[in-house]
Amino acid sequence: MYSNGDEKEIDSDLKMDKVFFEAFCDGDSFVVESMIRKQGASAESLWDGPGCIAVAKDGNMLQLAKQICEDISAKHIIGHDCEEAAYRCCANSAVSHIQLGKSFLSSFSCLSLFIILSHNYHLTLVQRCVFKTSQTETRKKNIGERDWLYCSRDIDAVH
Amino acid sequence: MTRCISETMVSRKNGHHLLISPLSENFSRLLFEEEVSLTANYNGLIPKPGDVVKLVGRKPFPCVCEVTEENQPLVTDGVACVVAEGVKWQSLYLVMLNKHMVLTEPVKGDSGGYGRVITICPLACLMAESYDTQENESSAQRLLLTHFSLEKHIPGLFIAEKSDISPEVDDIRIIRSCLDIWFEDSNSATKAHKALCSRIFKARIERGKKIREALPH
Repeated sequence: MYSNGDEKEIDSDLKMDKVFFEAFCDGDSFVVESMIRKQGASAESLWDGPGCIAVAKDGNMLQLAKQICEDISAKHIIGHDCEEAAYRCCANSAVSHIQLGKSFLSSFSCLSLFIILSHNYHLTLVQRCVFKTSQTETRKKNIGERDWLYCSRDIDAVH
Repeated sequence: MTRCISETMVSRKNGHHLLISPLSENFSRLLFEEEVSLTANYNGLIPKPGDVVKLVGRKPFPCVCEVTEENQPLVTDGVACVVAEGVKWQSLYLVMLNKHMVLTEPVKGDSGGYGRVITICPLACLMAESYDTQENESSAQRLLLTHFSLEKHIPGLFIAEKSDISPEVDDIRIIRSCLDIWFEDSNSATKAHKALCSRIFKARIERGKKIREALPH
């Protein structure tokens, strides 16, 4: 028998494995391993650094290059050049965590953002940082529940 | 594990942005590499096909699978084979050895305490689906095992799914392979399926924990 805490952790671990392993084995899915935010050169430019995302996908470099070539002009790096965009990024994070279960949310001191390409969601991505949980909760109230759900379905929301 | 921007490629498909990069070595290892299981064998190594493993103290589930000409060399004991309507069936034991699923054949002259490994694969990379085949005249029940791997070498007896895409030199692609195993009746199939799924979940929970730990904090 497991305690309540143990059960929550086991549940989170299994969900984590599903997020990565099953998504990866599904040929139409992408798994983002990590996302970091780079701070701008000056101390004040908290949001003007580009985001950096590592996306896992089966395939090879040639095929990846072909996908890039489909729209060579799409040189778009996810990043936040304003605080509002960062809020939206956080919204994605939280909604994704809700998808994974509330227990998962409480297991991180800093928010991690999951984005996975799937039928229902354009992206689910895993990100760390941006805000501490408590800060995000405050911003969640400011943004509003509807916007959070909207953001989770729109990849452009993270731009 | 974290890549720099130059390694991350960006594309736009169907109006959506895609960010693409190959699976990192860290995650590749984490998701697909077999772990050496200390209790798997006497010498602390994962048993290989042909090795004899002790079955005493473990729960072996009797089953059969079809032996094709290609798989014939994997089977050493002809006595445990039965030919029915032109199809050759091999008697097997499905056993869970810590983090691996093993199919063994009976060892000649042994009363059932040992089995010779025919195929072995990590539980965390395995999916087991039970199929109700009561419509057939036979009471036998089928279990479909699917194995996911990054390696082109698939476990013995498993058959790789055909891909329309020709492999490239630097190809990193999920190899999906399948195996049908049959049980005497619904009851024995259900027991084996439950036990297998339980161990698969356990292995996946452990991997999930490692994934969480591997994510940057």
